[in-house]
Amino acid sequence: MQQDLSRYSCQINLPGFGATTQQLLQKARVLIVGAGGLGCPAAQYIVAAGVGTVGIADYDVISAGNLHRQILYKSNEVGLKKAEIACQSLRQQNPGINVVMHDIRITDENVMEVIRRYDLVLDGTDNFETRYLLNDACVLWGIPLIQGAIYQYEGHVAIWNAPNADGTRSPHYRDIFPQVNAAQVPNCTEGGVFPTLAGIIGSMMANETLKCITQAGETLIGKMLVFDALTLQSRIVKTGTVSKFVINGLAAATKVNTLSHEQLRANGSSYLLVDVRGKDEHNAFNIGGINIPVEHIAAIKEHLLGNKRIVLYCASGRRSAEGAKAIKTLFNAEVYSLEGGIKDLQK
Amino acid sequence: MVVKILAFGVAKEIFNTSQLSVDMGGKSAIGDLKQTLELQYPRLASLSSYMVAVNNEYAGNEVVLVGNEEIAIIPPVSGG
Repeated sequence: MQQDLSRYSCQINLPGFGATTQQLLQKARVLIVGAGGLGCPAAQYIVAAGVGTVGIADYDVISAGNLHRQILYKSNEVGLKKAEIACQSLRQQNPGINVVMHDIRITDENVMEVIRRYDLVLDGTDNFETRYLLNDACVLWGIPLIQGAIYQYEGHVAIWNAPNADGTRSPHYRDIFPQVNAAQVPNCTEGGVFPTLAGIIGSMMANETLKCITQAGETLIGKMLVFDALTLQSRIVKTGTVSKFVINGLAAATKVNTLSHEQLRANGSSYLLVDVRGKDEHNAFNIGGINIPVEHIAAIKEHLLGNKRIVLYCASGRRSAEGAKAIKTLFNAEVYSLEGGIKDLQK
Repeated sequence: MVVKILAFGVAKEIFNTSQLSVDMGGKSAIGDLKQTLELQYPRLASLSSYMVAVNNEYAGNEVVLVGNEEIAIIPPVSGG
């Protein structure tokens, strides 16, 4: 069947583009992991440009706090699944392509299977654990990874693990950041994020995706772009040409025990509650217990000798999960993370 | 040798500024710079890894500084 190319006429008319380049896009299979601040704009441009197969992976539901930057979602969709709403909207945007929904959380158990049918993977996730999983799985399969990350007013974009002409691969995430103590680096929920930064960095990810597929211009392979939305300054840091960090398999995830609000209420007195948010957040609203910000979580040591089990809480459950991992690793103690955090109690 | 540092991401919070000068004593390698900074700012060490870029190029511990380079400390960011 001859595809109607009229909707792509403005890109086909570009110097050096043409109908054959459009076919490259049509044949490409791109997976976008994380349909959030970065994934929404990236997906919209990649779908609009006519990339033939676009996968959307996200397990989360839309929350009110997402709406300022996650532009595929509307107020009346709060509580609905991101993967479903995003895919529905993207299919309407361009019915001529194949949008594949992955309504799952990417884990060490499924990542290899999920990404294997794609030519390119985009990382727009919001946590280091998934970022490292995607990186390692992409290296193991030999799939290039286009990564975006944002914090407050700062954004990073990089292309990792791209093939070099001599058969080697370009550096990947672990060549530059071998491992990270996630408890020490706040994410968007905690540190905040400037909404248009998500749009800019997400669009840059789409930009690099289209360049990679159509082999246009100079891509960010072997480089990392650091962008500051406040000054509009960007710098491109060279990260080398060949990866030296060998990955032999996926790192097993540290499992975090979670506790529901119901379990906590039923058995409150047997737990020592620890608020791992910042002091200001604690003072503004808390559900009791002591306050040890997650970046100082090692100070929990003096409380471990009591006979109470430790329950960490934060706004969303993310910092408390990182704190729980750190406590498990540092002290091998029995520790729980309060599921979903306390953000819903605060309203 | 005194070098000037630009801080990014959470490093700005750790240093409590986006630009600072560091006295490396008689030393001049990136590894020495990291050690000096981590002694002064223990939270930097607890990040586990952060990139040091010299004149916009990733610099390993063995890279030796002359003193007039632009040095950036760029920790990873995780948000999406």
